[in-house]
Amino acid sequence: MDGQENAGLHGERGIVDRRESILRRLDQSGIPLLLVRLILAATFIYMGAMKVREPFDFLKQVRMYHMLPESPPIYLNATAIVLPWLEIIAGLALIGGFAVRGAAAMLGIMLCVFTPAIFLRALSIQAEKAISFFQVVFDCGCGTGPVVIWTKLLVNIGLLALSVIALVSQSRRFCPMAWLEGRPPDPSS
Amino acid sequence: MNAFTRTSIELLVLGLVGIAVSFGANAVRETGFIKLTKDYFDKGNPGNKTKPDGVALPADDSSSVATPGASMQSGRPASSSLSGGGVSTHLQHGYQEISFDDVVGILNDPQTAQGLNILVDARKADLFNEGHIPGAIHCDPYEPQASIETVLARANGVEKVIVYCGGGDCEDSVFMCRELIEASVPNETIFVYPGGWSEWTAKRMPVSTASEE
Repeated sequence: MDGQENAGLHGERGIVDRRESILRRLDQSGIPLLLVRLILAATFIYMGAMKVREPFDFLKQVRMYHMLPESPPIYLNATAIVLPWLEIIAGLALIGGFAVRGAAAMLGIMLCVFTPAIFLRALSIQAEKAISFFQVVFDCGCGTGPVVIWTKLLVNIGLLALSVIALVSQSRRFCPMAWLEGRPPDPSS
Repeated sequence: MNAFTRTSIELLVLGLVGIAVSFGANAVRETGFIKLTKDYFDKGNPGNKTKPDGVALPADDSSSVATPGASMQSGRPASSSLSGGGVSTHLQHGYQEISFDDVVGILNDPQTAQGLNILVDARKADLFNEGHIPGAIHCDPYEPQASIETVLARANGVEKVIVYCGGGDCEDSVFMCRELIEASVPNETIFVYPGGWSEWTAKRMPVSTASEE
């Protein structure tokens, strides 16, 4: 019996090891991280630029979440000034391959704040208008104008997953910072 | 240096760079400059809060000011929403309101053509250029410096300054009223048209696309 159990355990462990090995090799190829970086960078640079282009629209949207006090106004105003540029800077860092984990962490933190805030605001609009959650449409201040909120929430969850991938990836291929520091592009390869 | 420390340092550096760039970019921009200490959402102090017939209203009861009762008023609370999405308390304000019918009456009044009454469009410039109530002057409450002088020049000695924005939940007309009062336009001449652009177009009223009225 013990021999059979051991054989079974070894078999399962072997499958897990093989999967980990495949994932590790895939990660070490640098391709998944590169794709993730490009998607996140394009998304956040675009959304940040849209907010920078219309700063007062973004200021109004930030206010609508009621997450910050209106008085003194410095909190709302500073948030409207800084947030879009944080998105752009993080996007540029990702696309340039500098401070990738820091940029991914920054975007992840922002998404962890924005997504529940959008969800709660959607719930309040749903209750106010007595409509289905799937019918809730509003300008979430994301830089894309009025959107169907349940799709926006799904997109945000997807972006959060990509941020986590960028954060935990061990690969340093296609990252100029690793070259500048004199490290091999991919230490584990 | 472990991964957590390294990530934290990267996060800090990116944050500081982002803050520096954002304030630098805000400082040098010609339009869209956000003044850090300005309360853009202050609804202002409509002054003595008097009805057109001179009856004083309670200073702390903004909802009661919404329907001052004269024929010029819309007859509905300022807090009501055209979108039918329930009561939006943030739309409460202390300014006099004017109804759609009265705006139409004023527009058809020959004295309006002579400058006795003026309309101020508080929406964004691109929306104004796409179409506005005939005769309206554009003034953005968030960046009034660009056109407030034009408004003030026309508002001098007029009977009514009617301010509108998108209608519904839009508050920009209220913020525009605050700017007008701060620029010394008499409170008793200022009226908010709460139906705004959405009501105007819904009732298929004439619109103008002329950039300078």
